[in-house]
Amino acid sequence: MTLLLTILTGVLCIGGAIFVLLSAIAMLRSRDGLSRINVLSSATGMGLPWIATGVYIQHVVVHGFDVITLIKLMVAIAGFIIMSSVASNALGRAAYRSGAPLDPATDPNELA
Amino acid sequence: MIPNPLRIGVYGGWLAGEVVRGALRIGVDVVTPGLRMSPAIVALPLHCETDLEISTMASSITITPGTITLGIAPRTGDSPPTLYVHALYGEDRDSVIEELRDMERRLLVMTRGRRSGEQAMEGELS
Amino acid sequence: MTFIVWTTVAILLLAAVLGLVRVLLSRDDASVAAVSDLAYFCAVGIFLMVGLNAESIVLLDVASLAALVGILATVSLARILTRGRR
Repeated sequence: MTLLLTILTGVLCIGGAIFVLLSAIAMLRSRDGLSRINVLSSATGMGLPWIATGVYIQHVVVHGFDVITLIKLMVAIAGFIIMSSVASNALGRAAYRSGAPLDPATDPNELA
Repeated sequence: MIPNPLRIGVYGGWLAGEVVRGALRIGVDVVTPGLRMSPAIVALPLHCETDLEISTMASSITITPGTITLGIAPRTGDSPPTLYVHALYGEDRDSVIEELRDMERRLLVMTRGRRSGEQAMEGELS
Repeated sequence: MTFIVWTTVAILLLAAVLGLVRVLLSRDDASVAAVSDLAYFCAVGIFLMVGLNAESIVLLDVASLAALVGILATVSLARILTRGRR
């Protein structure tokens, strides 16, 4: 049982880290600032919630189950998703309004 | 005005699936040679009415990898509230709008129930 | 367990370094803001992993606080981008 939970932890932690890495590679290869803000949500929407879930499973294995820790996990996951999306909205709007250079291939642009 | 928790669960599960799908799509694109990204900024007039629906829609669009909300135009006169969406794979404008309409339909079914949600999507944009 | 922890830390470090390479190659303001967000989340992940190795008991508190406070840095960067206008 413990072995199974450890394997599950490994899959969640390494998988989440791989999503963060994919997001970094996408940032490296995309061509303008808005696209880089865009691909960040695959790190915050997938990577960090998976890592937090893996940490929670290992916490249960080592210290035992209690409800408060489960609530903390829920707060962490909801916080990562909601806060990062609200923050990305603000950042995207600021980047567009400050006249960041756009990828010339951006077509159609209905906010011109 | 809190929606049924069961409907929140259904919508949350569907949204999680969309996040996985978008993340895998971007991941596959960037680790294989050649880049298929062609960004686009599209205007999306909404059927949503309340502030809660509009802001949930904007956040759902942003958390899906590949699309991000750049701005929200409030209802002015007889033009509906409008979101401006930056899409990473926007070579086909109609399919982008199609996917966002599907998300909006599921959102309205969550907040208003199945019948009036579908009805609101059928109605003309005013 | 040790293998899981250090593999994850290595992948997250690689992600942070790739982000820094991006900043060195092209330094327009929007990219710097996006990369700083990425580096923040990498740091949170690395902290969680190192704490997991030490069997610390406060890890979930750290994760939830990091999730709730992370918005401040991003919103202030957004204000910097627009030079203080809203």
